[in-house]
Amino acid sequence: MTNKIIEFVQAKKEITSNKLYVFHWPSDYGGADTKLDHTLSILSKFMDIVCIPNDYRQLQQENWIESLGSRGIKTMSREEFIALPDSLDGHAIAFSNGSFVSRLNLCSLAKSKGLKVYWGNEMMWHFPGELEQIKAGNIDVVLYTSKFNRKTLEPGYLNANPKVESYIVGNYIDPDRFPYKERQPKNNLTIGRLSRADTEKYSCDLPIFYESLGLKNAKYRIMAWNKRVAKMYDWHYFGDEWDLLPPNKESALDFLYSLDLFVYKLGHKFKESWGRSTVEAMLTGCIPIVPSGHNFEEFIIQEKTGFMCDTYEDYRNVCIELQNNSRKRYAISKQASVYASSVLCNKEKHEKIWRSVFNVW
Amino acid sequence: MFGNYCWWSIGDGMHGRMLKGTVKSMRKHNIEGDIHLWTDQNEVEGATVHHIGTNSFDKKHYLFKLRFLRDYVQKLPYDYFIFFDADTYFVRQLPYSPLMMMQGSPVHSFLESYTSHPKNKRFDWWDCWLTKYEQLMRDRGVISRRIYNVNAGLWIVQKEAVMTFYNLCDDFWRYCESQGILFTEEAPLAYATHMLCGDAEAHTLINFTDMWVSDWTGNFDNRLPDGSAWHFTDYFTGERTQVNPAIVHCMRSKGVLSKIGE
Repeated sequence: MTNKIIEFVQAKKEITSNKLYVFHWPSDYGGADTKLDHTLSILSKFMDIVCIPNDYRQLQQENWIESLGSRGIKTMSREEFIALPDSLDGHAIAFSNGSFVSRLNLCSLAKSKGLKVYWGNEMMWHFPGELEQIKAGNIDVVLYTSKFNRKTLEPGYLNANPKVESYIVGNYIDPDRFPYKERQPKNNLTIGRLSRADTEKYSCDLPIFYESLGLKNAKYRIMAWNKRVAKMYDWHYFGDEWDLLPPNKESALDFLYSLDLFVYKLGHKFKESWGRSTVEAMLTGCIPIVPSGHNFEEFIIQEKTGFMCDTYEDYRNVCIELQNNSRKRYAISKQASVYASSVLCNKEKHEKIWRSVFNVW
Repeated sequence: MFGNYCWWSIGDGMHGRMLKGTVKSMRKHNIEGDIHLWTDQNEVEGATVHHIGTNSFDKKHYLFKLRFLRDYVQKLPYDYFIFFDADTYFVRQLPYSPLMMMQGSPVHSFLESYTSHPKNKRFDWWDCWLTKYEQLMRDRGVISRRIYNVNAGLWIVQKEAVMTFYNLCDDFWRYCESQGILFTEEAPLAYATHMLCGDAEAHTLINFTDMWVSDWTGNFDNRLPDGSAWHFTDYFTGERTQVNPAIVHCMRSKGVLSKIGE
């Protein structure tokens, strides 16, 4: 009986603090980690943030300690968090940190300390333990990255807990970190793609698909590439026109500057919940040529800010047309960048969304 | 990038005897490449026999071709494996290397008839409506503008792509099964080819009628092709095209082919 009263009191507890415990650590690689990095720049304007990595060794990454410190963000280890009192006032959040909901069980720990718990799943499937945590009431709010993401995940969440709160928070990229750069009006284009080195993200015919687009003297650049991805294409001979880069071999910015077209054909079973690298490409002026569906309708205005393709022939026709028409290429490149920075990654808009989530004005 | 290749096939009983006839025709015309046969025949002159018992393998839905490739053929020391059906007959030397048909892809099969051709008169394939077949292909990621069927009488897979090819075929067959459609090996073969070939149009039959064509209508009704031109009939439109391939999939000449193998 006493436990039930405590649970009731915790559930109804008013959060008055703007303290935010972030159970996640930023990095330069992968959608969720980079999203966190950029989003922290917004959140740090009105939240008092502490970042808590899964692994204490991440606290020794001086570049990130410095980067977070410069934004007024503190850090602590899991052990230090565990040692905090059991009656905290504030919020806890994690993005696609599987350990938060399963192995490390930080989610229930944060809840038991009185925090309001927010969970953002950037994927298109449920993490192990995620639904159980929602069912147990250890997650108060779920955060979607897009309508597409919501459509996929919401049924599971509502089935686990019909009263779970939710917001579509989108995905923020700081436009200042991906400034526009005008590409040269050349005819031999460089096309490529940027993503995690996840085999699911790569179409089974990638090299022959690129090569059969029919571009003249094209260069092909891919990041990130690793042994598992390479194994998919053992059958292909990659000539000098190919540049296959391991993760973070170049900064995302430098890599995208090297591309004229961002040709993003995905693995046939993969669903992109948002498409962060595509928007990064747009910001820099690299023209996105992406598959129809997924979440790309949110940021591609056909033939204005990029291209969505249904068929191989669509991809080929668009690429050839852009190769042969540098004026059109320039116009779309510019429009993509302006749209991405002013609409998709509008700082004020994103700040408003996050203030609404945490009810901090 | 070219490499070495072998021809391979499977056949027991009558099909084993037919294979003898096929190999005879290959050797008569000095077809290059080793030949590997999984057969109940004790010896086939001009080929390496991998002996199997009569009726020793599951022939349901003809999926054994894919399983033999995965389990046995890919272990052979060649870069490419060219499958031919037992009822195949070579009428002359090949006009070019069969690997020319790969065009950078790890798989080649002859994409034959366009499922949405406005002149189609037939609208089903293997007891599946073409609209359903198209949908199944789209569901599993095929993005070529046109979708084709294939005849599985001759196809090529690159060694390093065997497992990718097999897994695509298997995945598609199982997906179709879950939708109530039990295909033979042909639909999975068509699927894997569409998925792995970049530009599907580069693999259509019409580009290679000097190399291989299937005589499914029986131009050579129980007689052997003699190198003269004949008419191929499109499976869906019924339109006839004059062809004269070096390799004939003489589906209606099984009896005479097995006789010359005896």
